[in-house]
Amino acid sequence: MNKLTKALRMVFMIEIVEGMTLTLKTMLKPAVTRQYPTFKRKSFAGSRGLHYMDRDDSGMKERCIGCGLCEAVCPAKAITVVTEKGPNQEKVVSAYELDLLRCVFCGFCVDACPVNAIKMTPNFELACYSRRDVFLTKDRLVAEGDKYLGKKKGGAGK
Amino acid sequence: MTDDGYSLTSSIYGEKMSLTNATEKEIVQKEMTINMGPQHPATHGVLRLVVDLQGETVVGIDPRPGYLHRGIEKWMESRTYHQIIPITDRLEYITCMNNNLGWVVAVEKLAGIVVPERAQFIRMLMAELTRLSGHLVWLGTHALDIGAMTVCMYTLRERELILDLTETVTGARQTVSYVRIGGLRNDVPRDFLDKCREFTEIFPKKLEDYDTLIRQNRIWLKRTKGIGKFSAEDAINYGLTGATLRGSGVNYDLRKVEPYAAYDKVEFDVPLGTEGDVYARYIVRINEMRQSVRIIKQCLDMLPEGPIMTADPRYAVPDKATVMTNMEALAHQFVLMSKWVNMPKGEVYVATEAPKGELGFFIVSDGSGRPYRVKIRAPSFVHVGALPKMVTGHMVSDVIACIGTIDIVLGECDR
Ligand code: SF4
Ligand code: SF4
Repeated sequence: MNKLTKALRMVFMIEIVEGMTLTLKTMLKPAVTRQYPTFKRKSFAGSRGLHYMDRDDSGMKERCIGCGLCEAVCPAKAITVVTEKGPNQEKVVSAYELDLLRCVFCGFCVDACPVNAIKMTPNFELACYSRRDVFLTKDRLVAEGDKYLGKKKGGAGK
Repeated sequence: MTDDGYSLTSSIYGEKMSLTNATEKEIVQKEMTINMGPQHPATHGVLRLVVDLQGETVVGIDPRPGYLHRGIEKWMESRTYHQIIPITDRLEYITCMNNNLGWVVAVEKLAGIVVPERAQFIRMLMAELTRLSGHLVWLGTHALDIGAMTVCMYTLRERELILDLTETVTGARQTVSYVRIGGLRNDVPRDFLDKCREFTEIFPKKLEDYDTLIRQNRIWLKRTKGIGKFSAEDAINYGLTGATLRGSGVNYDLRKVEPYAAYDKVEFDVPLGTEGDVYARYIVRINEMRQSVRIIKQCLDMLPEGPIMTADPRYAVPDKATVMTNMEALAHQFVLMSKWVNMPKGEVYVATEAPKGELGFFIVSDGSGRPYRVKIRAPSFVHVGALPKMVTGHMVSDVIACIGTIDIVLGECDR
C-alpha cells in the first residue's frame, strides 16, 4: 500500500466504514441465535446427558447385574451399587444410586458396563428445585429409560 | 502499606485527609495500590492482580493466582490413569481435547503404546478443531476487553459450529473426555467428515470478516501496537511458549519440534511475529487459525481406514461387542476399568502444543495403575508470571490488553 492510499484511508476512515458495512450486512441476515426455551436445537445422537437404566430381556426388571464396574470406574464417585443374595442364591441389585450432582457426564460408566445396562440420553435439561430430584435411584433410572425409549412400564424391554 | 491489597481502604482515607492541602502534582506522585480481580470481568476467570499505580501508570504489578486451585495434581494420584482423562478436561476448560491428548500422549510414552494411524489422525483433527475454538474464544474475549464488542459475537457464532461438530463426535460440547489411552472412545460418525469439510470451506471467509472488523481499525491498532513488548530473548528467559512466544519471533512449535499424533505427516507453517507486542501476537494467532484449517483439510483428505484402538492387548480397551461375547475380553475390561493395568516403573515428561502454549505432563510411575505423582506444566501459569514485565510502565487499561494477549485460563493456571 503506498503512502497516498494510506493517507486517504486514514482521512476517510475507510477501515471503520468497512467494519460498519459488515456489521450492517450481518444485521440484515437472519439471526443465528435461538430463543432457547421456545426453540430447541435437535439433540445429537450420541450426546451425553441424563442417565437411564435399560430393562433386561424379560422387561420386568433392570438389566444391571450388580457387577459394580460403573461404581469403580466413575471418576467422580457418583454411583453406588449395593447387592445382596436373593432367595435362590443369585445376586440381586438391592440399590443403585446415581448422584447427578457429583456426576461429570464423562460417560465412563456407559463405556464400562459389560451388559449395556446403564446408558445415557441426550437430555441435558436437568435443572430442578431440590437436591432430591437429581438423586437417581434404580427405579427412577428405569423410569427415565421408559420415558426416553417411549415404552410403558412393564412393557417388553430390549 | 503492606504489599497486600487489603489495606486499600485505609490508604484512600489517608489520601483524602491530606487532599485539602496537597497539590495535584503531589497526588499524581503518590503511589496507590489497587486490587484488580479476582472478581473482574476482564481477568479471564479469577486472577487477582495487585497493581501499584502512579496516576494512571502502572509501576508494579503482582499476580496472585490460586483462587481456582482444586488440587488437581494431588487428586490425580488417587485416580487410575484412565480416570484422569476427565480430570484433564477441567484444566483448560475451553480446549479440553488438547488436554486429553496431552495426558494420553504422556501415558502412551510411559507405557510404550503404539497408536493406530486412524486414531492419530482423528486425534489431530479434533485437536485442531479445538484449537480453533480456543483461539476463537481468545479473539472474542480479547477484542471485547479492548472494546470491540462485535468480534465476540461473530467468533462465538463460529465457535458454535465447532462445538456442534465436537458434540456429534464426542457427545459433549466442552468436557469431551474423548481420547483414550491407546486410541479413541469411538470412531467419528459417518456424516462428520462432510460436515467438517463444509466447515473448513466456510471458516476462512469468517476469518476475513474478523480481519475486516479489527485488523486495521485505528482504535485496535492504538490499543495493541507497542503494548506488552517482549523481546525474543526475554520471552525465552521467561519460559513463554505457544503463540505468546512466537509473537516475539521465536520459531518454537512443539508440533514441529517433537511431533506427536500425526503432525509429522501433514504440512503446515508456523506463523511468527517480529515485534513481540500485543498486535504481533494477535496476528500470529489469526494466522495459526489459518494453518489449523489447513491441517484439518489435510486430515480429511488423508484419513486412513483402520482400527481406532491400539492392538496392544495389555492396554487396549476392548469394544463393547467383544466384551459381551468373549470371556477374556470381559475379564480384561474389569481390570482396566476398575484399577487399570500395572504400568512400567519410571518417569516421563511429555509436552504437547496446546492452544495456550506448551502443556506438559510429568508422570512418576511406581508401577501401579495409578500415578505416584503428576506435575502439570501449565502454560497459563508461566504466562501469568510474565505479566509484571509486560505491563509495567504502561497505562492501567493496557493491563487488560496484556491479560488478553497472554491467553490465560485460570483453571489451568491454578490447577
Ligand atoms: S457419567 Fe461419569 S461421572 Fe457420571 S456417573 Fe457415569 S462415570 Fe460417573
Ligand atoms: S450398571 Fe452395568 S457396570 Fe454398573 S453395576 Fe450394573 S451391570 Fe455393572
